[in-house]
Amino acid sequence: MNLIEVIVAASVFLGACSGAAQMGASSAAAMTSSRARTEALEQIEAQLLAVGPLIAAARAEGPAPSSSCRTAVPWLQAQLETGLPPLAPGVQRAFSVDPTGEQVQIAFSAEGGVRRQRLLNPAAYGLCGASAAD
Amino acid sequence: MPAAQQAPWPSEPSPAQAAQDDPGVCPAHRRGRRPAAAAEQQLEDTLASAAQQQLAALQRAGGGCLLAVDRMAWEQAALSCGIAEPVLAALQQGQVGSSPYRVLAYRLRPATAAGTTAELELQLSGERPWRAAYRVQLAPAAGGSVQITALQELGLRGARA
Repeated sequence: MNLIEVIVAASVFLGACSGAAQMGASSAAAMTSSRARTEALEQIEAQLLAVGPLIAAARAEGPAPSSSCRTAVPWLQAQLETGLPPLAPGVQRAFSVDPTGEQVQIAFSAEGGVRRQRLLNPAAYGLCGASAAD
Repeated sequence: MPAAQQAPWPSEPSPAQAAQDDPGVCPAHRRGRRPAAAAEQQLEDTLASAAQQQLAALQRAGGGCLLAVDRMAWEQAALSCGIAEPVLAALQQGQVGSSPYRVLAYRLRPATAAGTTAELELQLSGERPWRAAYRVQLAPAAGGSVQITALQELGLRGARA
């Protein structure tokens, strides 16, 4: 094997090593991103599952806010804003009243295109209606 | 038609569902039952929002009289309950964002010590007609109306058009 052959073989070997290293780094980054996405989705799911018990507990502590569903909306939003546990960095949460004024919208987002949103209606939590003032 | 489309919704939650509904169970253990794909989660969110919207409509309509209506009996139920046409329309279908849906049934369940329960079944319209069922616990309210005391998701499933 002459010198030129040795140099060519070494170049090919180094190139292959470099390519493998790049693929490994790319794969690790993809795994990290996937794990972060999964964790964000789990956190959001836990938040959504916490809504029902949170509202039930808030109702048990004090009287329902109103017999009017529309006026119960700000109360519901306030309970959610103060009562839901904090989120880890990277996951965002936003509350708003939907255009009808009858429901609270809760929206979550995180990196990687994670986005979930739900409409929460006071009537579904027994916060308003004919006997809400009981 | 897929067999899953014909199967009745479970009247009792499975142990896995019960664990999922228990706030003391960590998210990792709930994950097995949850739809994993983002598209499915969006459908689940849409249907859950629709369920709350429909319960509000049911309450506004007076509620109690309507709690045993299936997809074939809406007009008959409306007649016997004195429900006006626009109110009936709002009880049969609705829209969450840009996603229209329809109400397939309210099914009254046998009364228990916990009170009156009913199952609400919804189906998205359009290209992805997924269905979901919810258990609703109700208490009588003044004026023949109902008050919703609990809402629980029973299941979500895909269906072909």
